[in-house]
Amino acid sequence: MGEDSLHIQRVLKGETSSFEILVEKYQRYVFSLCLRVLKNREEAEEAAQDSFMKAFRKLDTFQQSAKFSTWLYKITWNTALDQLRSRKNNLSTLDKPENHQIADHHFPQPENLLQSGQNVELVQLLVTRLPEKESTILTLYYLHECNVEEITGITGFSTSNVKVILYRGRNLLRQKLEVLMKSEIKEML
Amino acid sequence: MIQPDEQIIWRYLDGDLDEIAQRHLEKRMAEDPSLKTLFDQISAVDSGLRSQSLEQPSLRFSKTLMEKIQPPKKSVYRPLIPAFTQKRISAAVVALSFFSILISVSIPVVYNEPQILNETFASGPVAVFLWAVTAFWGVIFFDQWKTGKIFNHF
Repeated sequence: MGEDSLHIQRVLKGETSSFEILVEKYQRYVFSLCLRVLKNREEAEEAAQDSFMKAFRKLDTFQQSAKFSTWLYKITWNTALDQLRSRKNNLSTLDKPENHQIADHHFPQPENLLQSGQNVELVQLLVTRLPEKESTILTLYYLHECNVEEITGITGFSTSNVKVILYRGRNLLRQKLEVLMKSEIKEML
Repeated sequence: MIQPDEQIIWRYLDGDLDEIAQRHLEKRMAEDPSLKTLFDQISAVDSGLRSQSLEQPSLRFSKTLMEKIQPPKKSVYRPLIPAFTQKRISAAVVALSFFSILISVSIPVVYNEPQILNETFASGPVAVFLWAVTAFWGVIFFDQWKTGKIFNHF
């Protein structure tokens, strides 16, 4: 029996404090996933809290044979998407979509990161600027170390669709980097 | 179906190519510098993606969540004197105190005999009454403190 399963058993027996161990373990994964979908820290935090609440309430429906992380990410993905849909529905004509993007002033500009040679930070920043689907699938694949089958289970997309989105996301990222580098070289000349 | 070089390189980096396809790509890269340049570019993006770090939520994230799941237990302390009785006894004590002090003070003043004032406060029944009032307020104070109605914000 895995470590997660032991904690789940304890929670189901009424020892709710054991759930905190699971929260501590997965909070960064859940929050990162929400942030990639919603692109707003406050909303992502709210969605991450909702995801854990739902997981806690539905814990008795979790099948012990499955992987807890995959089950939790599936709940997170659906919660974040619901929040994104409700935001889009509530978006008035005065409320510009860019208000919901990750505020740029909190992050360095890609040009500055390129100049200072902070390549990892640059890639991370550019991933957050990709469309939701691409950004999320790349996050699940690289950060959460999920394979294509697990991503299929989490998102409900077909295997071929996941592969296409993964491929498209990586290429979009490479193109963005290429454009940045070209403009940097032009500036230097 | 012929796959674009980019796709083949990504599959190579994912470990998704069989051994023959891997060797074929490596051989082509050795012969074609432009393909090697493309491989280096994609490889840099791939290592950047693999080196990403997770985002950190607020420091109180888990505490806030656990408070929602497990709200702090309310005090189960039962007051020594029930609230309703407290109010009735308080009203009676206040009224009695007011009248006893009024009488105790007005008699010596009316008869112009100040020593009676000292004697009145020192007399047995009044002293007992004053001690009883003090004890009663002490119990109420204790109840209020235990039920968290006072000092809760400290």
